[in-house]
Amino acid sequence: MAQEHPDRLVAAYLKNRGYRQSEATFRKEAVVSTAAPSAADWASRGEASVPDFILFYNEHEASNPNAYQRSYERLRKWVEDSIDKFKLELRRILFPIFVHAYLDLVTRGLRDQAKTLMDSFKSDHIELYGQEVQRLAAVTEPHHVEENELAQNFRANRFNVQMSRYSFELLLSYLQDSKFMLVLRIVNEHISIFVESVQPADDEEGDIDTESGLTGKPTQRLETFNKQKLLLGELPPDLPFLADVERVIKEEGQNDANELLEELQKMKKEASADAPPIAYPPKRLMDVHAAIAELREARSKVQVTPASPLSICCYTFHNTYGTLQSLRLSPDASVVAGGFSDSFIRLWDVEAQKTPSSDVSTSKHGSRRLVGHAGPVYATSFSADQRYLVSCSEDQTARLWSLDTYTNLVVYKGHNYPVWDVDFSPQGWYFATASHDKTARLWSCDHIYPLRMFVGHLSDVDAVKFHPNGGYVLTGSTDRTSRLWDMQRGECVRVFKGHTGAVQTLAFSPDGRTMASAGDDNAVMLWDISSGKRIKKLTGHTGVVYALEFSKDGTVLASGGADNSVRIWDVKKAETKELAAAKHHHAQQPHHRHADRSSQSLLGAFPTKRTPIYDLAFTRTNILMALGTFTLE
Amino acid sequence: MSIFTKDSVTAIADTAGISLKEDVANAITQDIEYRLREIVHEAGKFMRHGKRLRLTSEDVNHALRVRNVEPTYGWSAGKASKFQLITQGTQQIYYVDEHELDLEDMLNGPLPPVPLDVAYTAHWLAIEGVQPAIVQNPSPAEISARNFAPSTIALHATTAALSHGLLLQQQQHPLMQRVQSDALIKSALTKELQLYFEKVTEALVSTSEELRSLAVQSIAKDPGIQPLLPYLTQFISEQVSQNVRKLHITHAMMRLTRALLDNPNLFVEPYLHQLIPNILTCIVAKRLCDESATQDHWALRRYAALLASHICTTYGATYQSLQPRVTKTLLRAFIDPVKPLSTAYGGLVGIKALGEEAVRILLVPNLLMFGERIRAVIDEMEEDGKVGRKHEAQMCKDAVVEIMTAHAKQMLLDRQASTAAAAAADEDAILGDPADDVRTEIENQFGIFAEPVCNALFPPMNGSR
Repeated sequence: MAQEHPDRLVAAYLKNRGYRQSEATFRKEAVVSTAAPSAADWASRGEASVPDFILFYNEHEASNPNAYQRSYERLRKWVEDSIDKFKLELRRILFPIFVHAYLDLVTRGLRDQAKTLMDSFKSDHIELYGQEVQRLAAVTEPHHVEENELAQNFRANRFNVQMSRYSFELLLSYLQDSKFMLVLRIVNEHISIFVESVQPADDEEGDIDTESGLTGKPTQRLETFNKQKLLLGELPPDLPFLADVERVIKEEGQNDANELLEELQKMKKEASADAPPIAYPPKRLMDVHAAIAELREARSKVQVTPASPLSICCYTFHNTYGTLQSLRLSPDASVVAGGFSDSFIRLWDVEAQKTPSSDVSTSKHGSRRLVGHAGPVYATSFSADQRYLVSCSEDQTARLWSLDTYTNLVVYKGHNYPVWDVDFSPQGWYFATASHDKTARLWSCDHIYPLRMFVGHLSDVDAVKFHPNGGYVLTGSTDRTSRLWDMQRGECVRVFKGHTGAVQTLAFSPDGRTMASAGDDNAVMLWDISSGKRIKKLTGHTGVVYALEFSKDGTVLASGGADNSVRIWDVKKAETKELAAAKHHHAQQPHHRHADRSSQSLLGAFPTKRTPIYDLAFTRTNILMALGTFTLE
Repeated sequence: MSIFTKDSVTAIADTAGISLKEDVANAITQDIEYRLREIVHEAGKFMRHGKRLRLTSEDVNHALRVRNVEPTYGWSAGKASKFQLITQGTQQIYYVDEHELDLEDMLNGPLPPVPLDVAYTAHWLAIEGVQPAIVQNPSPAEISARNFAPSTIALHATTAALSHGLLLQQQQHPLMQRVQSDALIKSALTKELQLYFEKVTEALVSTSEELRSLAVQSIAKDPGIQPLLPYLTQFISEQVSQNVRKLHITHAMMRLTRALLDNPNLFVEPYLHQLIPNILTCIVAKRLCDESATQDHWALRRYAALLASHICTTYGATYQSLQPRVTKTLLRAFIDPVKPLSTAYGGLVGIKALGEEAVRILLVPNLLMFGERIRAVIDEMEEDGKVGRKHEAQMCKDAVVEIMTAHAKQMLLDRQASTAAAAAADEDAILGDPADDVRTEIENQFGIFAEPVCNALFPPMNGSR
């Protein structure tokens, strides 16, 4: 069977091109049977991407300009008429077929047919793929296809679709019976279907399954890809340093020394086996005092649980005229850094502010400007010891600032397009940037060139975040995926797929096992990192989500965004619920989901007057700080 | 579909002195649309990262720069460009209206004002999971307008204490401690609010009707006076207790109360317990003016009664004991024979304002007794010739007649409806005329008020008699 393939292909090619004599000779020599392979043949294989389909490629049909429209229309009708159980799965295949049919028509210069196709079926896909459809609708000339980034993404990568075996068989036999060779060809060339040997899931969100879509990983199944080993454990404690801290505490002999030592003992125990090996420069005496202050704050931590609700302090910035673009609170909640579109960064010492809180503080006291960038500053990040600030800007650079001297220390050039986001490693020393050039890069403070480049996203990388143990970097992109990268190897180790809009913000739980992502689709999603599976989708926001943050004990997630509100979600409750559902799923039992699932894990929604929330941070005492700018409209 | 027309392309080409052929213009139009969409898409990214919801010309320039195109100049003044339309023959042309500026004038003119510096305020968005009702947070009305879950909104009176800066929670965080200590000191009002309070209170006790209504209007609408609420309630209490005989002041205070209740931005609930006694005073007080014969204190009683019923209907569901307490006071004022008739009148209108149900349960059973009292007063006074008390009794009588007429009318309608229903159900049944039933009932229960009520209720029958 395997040897026959090329022979048959050649025969079909000769026939198509009209080389009748050659074909006859070839058939004689190669003994190729003219019979078509049966549907059972395909069904026995796992993947649909079988070269056999090319045999059915029909020159006559392809030359008919209305064939695409007709085939798509009939396929769509068939899918909509099929029973509900398979409908959801079959629907997934419509979008890639639609896109490629449209691109085919455009490439062949059939502008009117392309336009009719777009106009008649656009509305089907607006909900899930609104932005893509709008961008593609603008593509009307063959040379646009060549240069359009999105079109090229579709052309160059296979669109992953997951469906059950039965649905797949249904689809194949339908396409074959009705002789939809054009569609078959598209399925063949541009779609890779993963056949699952399970029953179709009764999932009401069937359209937003976590595996279909473009990931740029055509050959590998996401599921197996996401099984790579990860080291998510916490870093081993730096024992010599802790010994130093202990010595200093004893020397100073303050009255809360015993309590601090107690807290210190806890830190020593918190080591786990699976921590990534990463080199850091040795700590200095200066860090000891910071560590003691941190211990003291950790002592007075407030428990945040769903039962004991939390307090939120809001910093509202006024008179920004839309120029303030990013806000970041320092780890000890004493300094706020704001990035302006006028290319400078401004630091406010919020701890030193002495004016009563109801009055707007207009004094320049406690505010400093860092001037150096040549474009809007999109993000800033403080180092853990709060002696450095790193910022990124539209001018394609990242800059390191000293917070002792308030001067620019280093300019990091490497990205060739605007840099959207930057994040310092929780341990300091390293930082990562995300850029419009579709890459994220890892830098260390003492090198002016990047140490690693994380390449693989299909569109802008909008957000970047370090794993708490400093060994991994998480990125979120306009291609609707989030990816986890191994810092050592510089390779992608997890792909999280499921958002229906760009991923704008990310957060890790403090134990490093769970992560949250959110963005343009107004939904917050919780993911289990080791399995790469979605735990929970939290809906409720009515605008883009700009900020996410886990509480220090990881039980509560806070989110804030353009809808002028802060929302608090219960992380644990969400987990138990969805896991139970997953069990049902494996046992192939029908399960019921409540319509208001999301509202069940919503613990509270706190609206601000007219202040979109730019940043959220839990202080070490577990009080939530929300930062935003007051907008006039 | 096409956002850019071929005409625009030819028009733009004309301005550059190029005349385009039909098919060239077509091709260019297609391409322009594609380019424009791509640029707008790209600019959208810059807008998103700038955390704005409105695209600016700067965003477009950044997008052009990313695409290696020269950015546009002269559009980033911060002002939105207004397009003007001119029609030239059949052609419609839009252009930006730009003024020529004289450099001399610019240089000699005064400098534009310096924009305000960026500043920040810190405030509590939530304390222990409850959102305090302070100026920096949206008012309950705004929140409900935005469809937020009511469970997260403060409904406790304790949180109201936060509104004037008395933070109750003890926080460990150094920053929080500072905020707390600050808050205790700064419970003083801002200058502006103090000034406002002075002006408003002055206007309210002034004799000018115009000033008073202006003040009331302002309070009913102003969104920023939550911090003044405790002071205003205090002010009402003081004024009512001190000036109980000065009609224009008590009346103004009632209007002020009404305004406070009407203002959608105010969170009045914690202060209800201070407001209600004042209202009740204005309903049932023994004397509300010096010259009861000439001054119309009855109107004030009626106004206050409406106010009380408004509070009961609005907040009755939240505070279960509210309406029973108000009703009790009013009923006592009505039936206690020791109390003067003016108080009884207040009780009457108060109960009436509470609705038909209150009238049926509270007034009707006591009518016979009250009627005797009124008759006694009227008869007695006939001899003395004391006009004042007689007038009071007459007012009470008129009020009762009015209330009972409405009540009887309602009763009659109900009976008629039920009779009709019964008749429809059982056609053979012989039912008495509902009007007769009602009439007997009125005569049995209403005592001395029966006659005028019947007269008002059945005028045609009167005529036939």
